[in-house]
Amino acid sequence: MPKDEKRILVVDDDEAIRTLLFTILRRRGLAVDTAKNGAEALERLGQCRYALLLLDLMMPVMNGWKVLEHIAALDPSARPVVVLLTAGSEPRDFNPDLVVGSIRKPFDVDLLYDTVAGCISVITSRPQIAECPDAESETDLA
Amino acid sequence: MAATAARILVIEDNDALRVMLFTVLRHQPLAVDTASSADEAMDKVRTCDYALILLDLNLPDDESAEFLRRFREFRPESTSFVLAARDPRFDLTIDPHQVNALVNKPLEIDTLADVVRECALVILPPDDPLPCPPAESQIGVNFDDTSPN
Repeated sequence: MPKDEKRILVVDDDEAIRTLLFTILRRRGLAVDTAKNGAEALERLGQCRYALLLLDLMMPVMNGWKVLEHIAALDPSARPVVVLLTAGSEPRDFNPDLVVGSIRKPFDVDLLYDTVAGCISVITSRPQIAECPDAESETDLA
Repeated sequence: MAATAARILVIEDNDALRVMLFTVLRHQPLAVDTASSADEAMDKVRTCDYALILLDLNLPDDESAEFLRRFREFRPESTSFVLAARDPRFDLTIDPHQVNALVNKPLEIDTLADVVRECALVILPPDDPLPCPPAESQIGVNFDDTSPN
């Protein structure tokens, strides 16, 4: 039976940042997946339901703006909450219906975790897609 | 947190954003309350003086303007710093006598935390302060249920 969960997707091409965020969130017991570009993120979004996306904008292969276009096309009830990870120099004309906020790099880890915790706490757990694999954070990556 | 911490009120109808702001701001040297509507916000400002009010300018049914009107009528001499968050897609007329500063959505969370803290800390309390119950951030309101399920 599909389990109810609030899964998080971290999308960033910087492996160090991806690993850092993954580690921080996993250590706090959250279900986390990662993607290193927009194309991987869309693949993940097609497989699993996500409660929250931490989304970098400037990425190779497919950037974060393209991912936002995809999310905009989803039914509002199926959209994850999106927090942008920015370098601070990107255009800021994002749709507030899609993006709840942004955090500039280098980010304050505590503030970032508070942001995630606040968002996650009010999101209702939804049944995961049956074919969705276990979250990376729940599998032994060693 | 000390009882004398600068007190702020977050008025936002988006649940995820309101609780996220509460969670972020309560870890600043601030006492934080929240409201999801103009009526709830008025109930709060009737009982407490806020150094800073962070107001969503896009509350439904023009509630933001209604709140500003009612708040300024109720407390015309209030020193509260009103920081309004607006959706830049909508062209709103802002009365500079009612709003001190504007930030655009989506919010830059780190910048906002700095701005709210710095502004709130320089606002002096009024000469005739309202009696004020403990803030939500001081009485153990906890939205940090980050369990995966």
